[in-house]
Amino acid sequence: MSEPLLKVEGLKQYFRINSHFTVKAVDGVNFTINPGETYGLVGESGSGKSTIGRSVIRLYEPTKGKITFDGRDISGKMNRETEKHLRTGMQMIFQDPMACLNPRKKVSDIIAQGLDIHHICATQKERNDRISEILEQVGLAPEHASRYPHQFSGGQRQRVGIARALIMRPRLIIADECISALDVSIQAQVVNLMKDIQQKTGCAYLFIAHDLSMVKYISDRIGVLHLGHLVETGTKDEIFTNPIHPYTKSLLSAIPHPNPEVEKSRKAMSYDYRAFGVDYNKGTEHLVNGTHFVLATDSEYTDWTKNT
Amino acid sequence: MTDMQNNAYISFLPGDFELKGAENTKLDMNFASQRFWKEAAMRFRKNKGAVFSLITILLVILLAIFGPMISPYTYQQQNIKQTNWAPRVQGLENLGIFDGSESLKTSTGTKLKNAYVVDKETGAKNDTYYWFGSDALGRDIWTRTWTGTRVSLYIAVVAVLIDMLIGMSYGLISGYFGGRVDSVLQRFAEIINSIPTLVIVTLLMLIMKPGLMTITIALMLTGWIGMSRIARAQMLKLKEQEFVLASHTLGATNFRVIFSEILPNIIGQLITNTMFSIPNAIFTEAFLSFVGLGIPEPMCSLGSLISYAFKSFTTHPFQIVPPVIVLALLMLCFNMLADGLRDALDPKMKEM
Amino acid sequence: MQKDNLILSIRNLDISFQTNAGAVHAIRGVDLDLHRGETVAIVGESGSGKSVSMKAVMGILDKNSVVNHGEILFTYQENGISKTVDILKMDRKTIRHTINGRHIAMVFQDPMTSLDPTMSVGKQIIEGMMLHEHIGRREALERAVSLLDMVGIPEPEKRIKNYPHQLSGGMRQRVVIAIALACDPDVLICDEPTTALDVTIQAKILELIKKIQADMGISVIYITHDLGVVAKVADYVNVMYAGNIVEKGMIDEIFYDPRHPYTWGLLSAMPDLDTNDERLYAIPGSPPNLMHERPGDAFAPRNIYALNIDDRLMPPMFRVTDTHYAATWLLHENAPKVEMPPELKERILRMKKEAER
Repeated sequence: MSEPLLKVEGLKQYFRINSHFTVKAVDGVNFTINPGETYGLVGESGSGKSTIGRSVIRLYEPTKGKITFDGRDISGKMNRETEKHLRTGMQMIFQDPMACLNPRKKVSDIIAQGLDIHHICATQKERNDRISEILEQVGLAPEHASRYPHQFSGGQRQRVGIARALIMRPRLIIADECISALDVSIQAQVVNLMKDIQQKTGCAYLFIAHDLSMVKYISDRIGVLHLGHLVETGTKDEIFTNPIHPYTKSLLSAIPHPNPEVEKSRKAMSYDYRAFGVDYNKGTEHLVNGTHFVLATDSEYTDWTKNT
Repeated sequence: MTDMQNNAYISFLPGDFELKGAENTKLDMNFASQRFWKEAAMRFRKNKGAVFSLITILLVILLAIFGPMISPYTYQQQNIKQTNWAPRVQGLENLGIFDGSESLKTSTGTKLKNAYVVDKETGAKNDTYYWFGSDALGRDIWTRTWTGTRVSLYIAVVAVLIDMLIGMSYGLISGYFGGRVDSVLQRFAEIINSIPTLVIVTLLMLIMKPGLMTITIALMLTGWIGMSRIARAQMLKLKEQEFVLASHTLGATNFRVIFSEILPNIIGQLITNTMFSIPNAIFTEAFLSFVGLGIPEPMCSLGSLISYAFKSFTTHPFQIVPPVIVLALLMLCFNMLADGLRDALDPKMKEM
Repeated sequence: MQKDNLILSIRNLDISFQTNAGAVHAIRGVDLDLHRGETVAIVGESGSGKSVSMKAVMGILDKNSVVNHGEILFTYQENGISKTVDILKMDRKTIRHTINGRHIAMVFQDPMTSLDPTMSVGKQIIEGMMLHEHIGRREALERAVSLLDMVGIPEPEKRIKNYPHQLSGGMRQRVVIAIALACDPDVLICDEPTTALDVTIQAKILELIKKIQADMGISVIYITHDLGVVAKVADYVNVMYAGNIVEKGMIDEIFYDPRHPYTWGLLSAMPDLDTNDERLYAIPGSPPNLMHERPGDAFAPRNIYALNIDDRLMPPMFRVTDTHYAATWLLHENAPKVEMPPELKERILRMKKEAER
């Protein structure tokens, strides 16, 4: 079994608002990502999924826990070499196509920003060649390179964001809700593009989203996040055929199916965290089968698996 | 279009109902064509006040450069025999205005006096012309006005430019790093801000000799704070934007992020604020000169001219008019220009 | 759907916007009907014009809009008599006094910005009530409490005094719905009301709207881009693209027998939980630039089933059934027989089988 590309152990990310109040955005999360696979992180607003993405790429400094990327520890203070390794090997695609590109820069400069920062290309020609190559890969015309972001639609801008990440030939791309702000038909385009890229380059994805059907389509393994805790993890088949945690079940049942006959009579299952009396801090990881884990106390676990 | 099938109206061509084929849908060629600066320029042109102001300012600058050159006098040349002479312009004097005569109100009634007349009987005038008249020391007001404008503009522009550089950097750094750095820098700025300009200038006068440099430094020391506040506010707004985060994830240094990524987005605001600061600087300098803390004689600025002419305001009012009009025009036009710029670079459209 | 049940009728609506860069032809001839007690969905992506057409109904179009032609006929009861007005011919003030809030109410997308942050929730609910129905404050507050209860907010007497920032997103949207229902309107227009909410909250809000509709007999217009939401709530569906309605029909017809290539694209682009395809079918290209009007079908550049005539002439509405119409030349008798993509066909078969269970 080869070394995992990314290993997150016991990650905690707290934000201190003032002397009385600390927001515990991420409260003890463990997961791994293997090279070339897609890990889907699902959760609703306030679950901490975006925070995990940003902590992993070190936009924040983790409060506690260990993050290992490609064999190197990136959670503490990094020396220059580790930092460079991180900044070239791991990239991020953002959510808002309107805000993720600098409105005053040309598309070619935006895409080549990583190359310029790390002085990767020796000549101007080499730089331009790489930009053209990437533009073609993401399905944009070479004329687009000299234009400005506001001249493009949301989907096209998102492609520029992908090109910016891709040109660094990263091993891991964190996609932070990168399709949520797009139209449905454009979402499909972008997701297809991401899958193509993965096939060609063998990069891994940490796909952060709230849309379970899209997550199921693109991911190999999935983690369900609620209030800063990973309540259930496993391969997509394991989770979708046999969800154990009541939050996972409520999430699944809340997705509307585009099937009118069924959908009209269906009622979504609800899950009220407080009413349920579940305390995530008390739970431990229970193995269901294979790689399927659930966060629960022993009594809860027996309760929930009674019927399976 | 909700007509039902009305095939009778529509004529079909052969080949109409053949599939076009899917190759035409491959590459995404869509994009809009307008650009930020073009649209901004259009908006600016539509604003008549701003365009007029721009033209007026350019005219004033031209006159400030060429005005003294086309005049036969220098700004410090005195002619004791030709003091307080009214304006006389060639050509216009034939129309009855600017012919060198002024009406003086004395205790015995209004007297019409023309200093240019050499022969009382014939009314023949000598060969001298003072386009704006001469002052109490016999100096040409036209030359002095435009030389004064030069000085005022110079002081204002230099002071504001340096303000922009200092204030902008200060505000950007303070806003970017936040936390303790921000607190310290802001407290320092507040302390400096609370000292009145007049006090600073007076203190400077004690240390340095009155002159061009001193006034410029005085303006610099107090004007940068407004600029820094604007820069800091803009920085705080943009700091958390996703394109800035993207730069971080790509490994950009702080310097690069501040000056290469964020600064181009706020340059519009900074330019507008600079434009607003210029009339402030001009007026502050004029005020200081007026109260005698400004540049020394025989050098002149608009303020010192007004101050000097104020003494003969009741007897020879024509002396104060030119510098006052120029000062008023400059201030009004710079303000309108800045207004127009701000509307043209309207944040609603393209900035974050 | 009898004709006398028709309460809102939009005919041949055509709207443009004047911008710095030119005229944007946003709505290009829209026909839409709403019957009493019905739920009509308008589906489309950005630039389709779905929100603009409903803004025209509410009389809240932007100042730079120009209505080129069309009429919006609204029928309502006033003092027992049935009145029909053309909303496009009324001035803003009259619309605000007689129609908005009272007969047609609107729920917007973002509950954060639809509520006034400086007024308590109760005050915002009774504002409209006291204005339109001229009732006293105490009575209005009682009604407000019962409204909050109806929209499912626990402890409504306490919540009346809360400010918007003290409520969660889902609760805020419930308050917005309560405000919309305060004056007992005939029509409720919901403009993507659940897009900004989590999916679990969305499910609850949708169920709430259905319940209210059943209880109060309101007609609802739903604007959305999410076909799953449409499947849950709608009776009748209009699919919009580039300012036109390209397909309309009863919900079963649209989902199980779609005829327009754009509808095929929309249905295929959503992965459902049973999708096992390697690739999602995606409509190529991007949404059209409404400033550059091209002759013929606006969808043609992205349509892999486009015909040559699509570059010349815009397709009229072709009849599939009495309730199902699609604007595509593929339905013309001379057109080649084109079937929907096989993946979509399979999916529909699967869905039908699931429905039978």
